[in-house]
Amino acid sequence: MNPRKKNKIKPKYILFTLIIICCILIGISINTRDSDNFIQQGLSNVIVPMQKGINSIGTWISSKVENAKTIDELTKANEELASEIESLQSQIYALHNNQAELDSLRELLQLKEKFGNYNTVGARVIAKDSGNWYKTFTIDKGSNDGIAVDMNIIAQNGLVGIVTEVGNDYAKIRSIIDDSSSVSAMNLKNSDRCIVYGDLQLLEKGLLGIELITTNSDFAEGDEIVTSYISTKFLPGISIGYVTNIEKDSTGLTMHANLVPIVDFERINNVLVITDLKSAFMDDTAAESEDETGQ
Amino acid sequence: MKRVITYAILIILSFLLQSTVSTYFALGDISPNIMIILTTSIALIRGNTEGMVVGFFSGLMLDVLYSNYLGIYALIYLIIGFILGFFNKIYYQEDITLPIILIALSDLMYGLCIYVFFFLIKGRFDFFYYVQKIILPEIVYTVIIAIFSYRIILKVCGKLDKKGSEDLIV
Repeated sequence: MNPRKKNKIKPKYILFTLIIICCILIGISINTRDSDNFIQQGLSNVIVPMQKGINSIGTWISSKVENAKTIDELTKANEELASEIESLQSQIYALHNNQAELDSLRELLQLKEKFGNYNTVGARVIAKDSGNWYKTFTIDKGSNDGIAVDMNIIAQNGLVGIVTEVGNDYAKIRSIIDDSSSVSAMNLKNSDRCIVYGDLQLLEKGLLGIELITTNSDFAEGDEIVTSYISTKFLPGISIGYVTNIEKDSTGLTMHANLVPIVDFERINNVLVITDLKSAFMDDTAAESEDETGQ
Repeated sequence: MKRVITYAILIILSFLLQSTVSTYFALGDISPNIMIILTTSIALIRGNTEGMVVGFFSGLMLDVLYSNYLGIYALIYLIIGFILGFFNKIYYQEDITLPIILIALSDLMYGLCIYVFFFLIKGRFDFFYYVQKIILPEIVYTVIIAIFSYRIILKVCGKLDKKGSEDLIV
């Protein structure tokens, strides 16, 4: 096939060289944090605009596909949506009630309303991880819009994930359903702590895992789980989901459970980035308490 | 030189397709693996040196953009490209069955590597679950896409040969 084959370097030498390059790269990247990896940054800056472009083509095509759906399907979807709106509205009322109750209780306790409102920036999801094994995605805002690593992402009033890498015009997010994600959380009812982790196998059923519940802590089906105060990266009080399937571990000392996430991870197009950082929060509180002691 | 540029374009194109458009057409949350189709096809049509190099750069692309550790995908794709290159000897252009079977095989290899490197070491032992829910559906979907895209890649390679571009890479 190729007349110049004789003059070429043998494939196995190339193979060895490339394998060695791979090993060196793996070694280097294990020792450096990926956020200050300039190769990754540079290439992402080139690729992300292209992804944006192609993504818009994808959206266009899928909108055409949507158009081709039959009227039956649409009416059915419409009905479903209408009932969803109803349930959402009732949820809003319930939340209003809760808010009122919360306000009154806060007043009673004279708590500062510290964790009530976070500053947010809206962003659009432009690409998902290319494989089937991970659940990470890219959004179209980056450091130019004030996004930084470790910022929390929410959508539909629930926790979506955390920013793991930032470029000028994009940011990468690891969602909480990713197999490598774990979030320090607590029961909203009684602040009992637990860990919420992603698991590819549970995800199949649309669930996450909860572990490290001690047997004397009080968890019940349907309890709301929120991010905890002790997490170093996640801001406290963001809803994650509801408890289900509580089971005792074989050791008898701890329990595990599953969690139904609030966010519908199948349909995330727009997300909110909370621009407050937990680390900044902790510095503030530290400074404040210093002030108080100073006076 | 023309060949290098063509390969670069093919790699970028398949990466872009895989990371954007293919997720829209994901069936059951599984998207096809276009990069593996490219690597395998080039390895089959052009032999293991080029398969290996294309695999290496495809993998590197994924690494740079999605992986936490630079080089792991590159290693997997590199080895797949190299091994599949050996089938170049028994391959002839008119046959489409062999390439399709081999693309399925290399996607299987890819799935197994990912499972071992990223999931087995985390203590996820339920191997058959991952085979059933991710590896097999991905292979099926990849094969369906491969039937079309393999012909395109073959045509592109044929064009390159016809123009007598003798300056091969490496």
